[in-house]
Amino acid sequence: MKEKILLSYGSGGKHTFEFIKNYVLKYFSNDILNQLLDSAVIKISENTKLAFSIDSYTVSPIFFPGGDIGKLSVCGTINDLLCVGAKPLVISLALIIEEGIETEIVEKVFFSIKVTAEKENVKIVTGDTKVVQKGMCDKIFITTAGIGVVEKDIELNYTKIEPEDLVIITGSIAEHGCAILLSRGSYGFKSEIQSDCASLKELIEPILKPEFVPYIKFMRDPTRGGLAATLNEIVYKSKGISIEVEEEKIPIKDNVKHFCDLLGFDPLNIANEGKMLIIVGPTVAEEIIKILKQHPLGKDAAIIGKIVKDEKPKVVLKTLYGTKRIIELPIAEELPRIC
Amino acid sequence: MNQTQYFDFSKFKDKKNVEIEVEKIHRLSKKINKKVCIMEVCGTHTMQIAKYGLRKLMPENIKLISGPGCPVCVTPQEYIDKAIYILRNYDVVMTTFGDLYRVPGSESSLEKEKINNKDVRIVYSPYENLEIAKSVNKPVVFLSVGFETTMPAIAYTIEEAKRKNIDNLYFLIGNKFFLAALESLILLSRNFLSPFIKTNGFIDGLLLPGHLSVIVGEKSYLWIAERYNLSGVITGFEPLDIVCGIRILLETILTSSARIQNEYTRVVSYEGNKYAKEIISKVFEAVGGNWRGLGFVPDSTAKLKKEYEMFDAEKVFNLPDVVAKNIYHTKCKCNEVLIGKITPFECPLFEKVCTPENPVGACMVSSEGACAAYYKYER
Repeated sequence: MKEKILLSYGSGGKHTFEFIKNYVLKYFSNDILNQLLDSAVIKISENTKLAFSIDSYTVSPIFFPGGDIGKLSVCGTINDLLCVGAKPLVISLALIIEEGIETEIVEKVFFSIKVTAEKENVKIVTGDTKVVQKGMCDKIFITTAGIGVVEKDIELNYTKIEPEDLVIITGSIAEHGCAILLSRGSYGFKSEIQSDCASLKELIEPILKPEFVPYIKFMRDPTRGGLAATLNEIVYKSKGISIEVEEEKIPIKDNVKHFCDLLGFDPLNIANEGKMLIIVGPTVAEEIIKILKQHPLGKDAAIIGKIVKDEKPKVVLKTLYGTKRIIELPIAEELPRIC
Repeated sequence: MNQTQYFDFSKFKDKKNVEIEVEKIHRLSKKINKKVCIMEVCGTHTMQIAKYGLRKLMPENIKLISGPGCPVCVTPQEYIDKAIYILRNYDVVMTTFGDLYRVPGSESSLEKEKINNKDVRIVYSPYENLEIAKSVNKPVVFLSVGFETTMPAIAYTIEEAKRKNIDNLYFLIGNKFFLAALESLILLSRNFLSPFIKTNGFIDGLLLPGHLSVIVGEKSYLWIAERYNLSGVITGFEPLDIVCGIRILLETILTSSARIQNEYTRVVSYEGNKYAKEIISKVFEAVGGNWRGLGFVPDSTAKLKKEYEMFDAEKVFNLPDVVAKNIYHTKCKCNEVLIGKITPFECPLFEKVCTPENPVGACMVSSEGACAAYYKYER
């Protein structure tokens, strides 16, 4: 049988990773793309670096507790620019709309895009609209690309990560994925879990101060595949390091924990849309936590683990009971079990 | 209302209380002063022990070994082949629990069929089939797998379909009676007496499945102690439950003759769920059948009773004798892993040839199989 694209190729786990390696890089390999960062960093002149990022949004349902596809498409691209330490400036907006949906729905999405972009002080500067026949897309798909500028001294990359560095998460995990699953409404029970969908611009900019910049090694927003996928990617792309995280220190809200327990999901594998994973040198970690905590989006920020030297790179979880186990790269999205 | 609050398991994960129990286990193990093998026969226990690293908290002479307790692991490969045959030859909606979605048959899986535009849907509860059947104008085939835990809900759905005269809903029955297999397992392990001592030791006690016991009740296990002089503890699934279950087993081994006890009293009763048991026997009967790992087990496989035959997918769809092609690697040691004779690490294929994505044997196929648990958490 000929190989075909599986849904899991887009899940952010092992299959996505292999797809990028075996297909994307096979055709488009170059010095910038090969770094596989959330945004490409392009040096324009001695003092100017641009960050450039693009992302498509196909979330279903398009309105969910805590956000909607419009807000998500602006926040997601802003957050991807922030990952390389950029100051987000402008965003483009490409729409694929399904024939027959009410203009009221489109306006509701636009309003959400407008409010989010204005609040974050980024402009929507160009765009495109396509309408496709009914059934060829699910209501509305949005693609946003973003451009930002990166200060001369800021350079975030896998290569900067060293043993003894500490791992910070800016808040409680797994809320977006759980909110989406719940809002599809097939479980027969309700919960107050809200998506964490948010732009992290106000949260991240204050820590990019000159005195911290040399010590901020790497940032990534743990979206699809959750914390588990992000940590595994870091280990895989760096050399000779493992990451050890402590279960006890990973912030997670009670209702998310209960929901995951009930369906047999591992919150480590579930998507976030308003959290940043930051790897920093040990000397500045506490100070950075203090600054993050001053913003409402960072009130639960915590140091959850550290980088260790290791010839057999892996992600290890120290459980509540002091035992250690592997955190594996999720293969595909989580499926509920029989029992 | 926030309904998930009913599922607050935090007190059963409490660090301090787990530590207290582990300390007791260490004290008891010194008194026992010989190797003790405890087998968990439920896949969810296997997963939880691996996920929380509980094996590493045990004293040297207490070995936790995994048994055959996952309905997906023991489902023969030909079952998946039959499902795929129906999908390819009839225009149907096929519904399944998530567990089976990626399980490979001899040449395909439900996931792969779905991308070939087959209508495969994941359901969370068998009742959803009633709604799906009403909403489509074609046959709906539910892949009915699971032990006594899942069977009441399936039997109830079949009853409802009959009462409501739903005539486009069918069940491909792959359900199995776990209790019948448990006896085979115990017998088989005794035949393997000498290799057991060499590798893991004899089974000294059983952690019995929590949720299956909600249905069948404590009294369904009494024969284990009476007939085989073996102790068992019905155990819940949180870390504190599991260490308590182990502690109770060790106390029993040290102080009294074999008996069955119940740690999971918050949901498991002595009698079990009378209504659930009644509806199982109203709709299903037990016949002999094959289990991956255990082979032929008498009275262990569910079959729809005559009055419910019209829901039986095997009868309605014309299935040729689909014989599972023998894809098993000759070096695959699933049979021995399933009965606890060896640990997954001792299988020559583990991690090298056999992985969750490309499983060779049954224990790697299911998310709750012993090999999958060891691969995911304990490498």
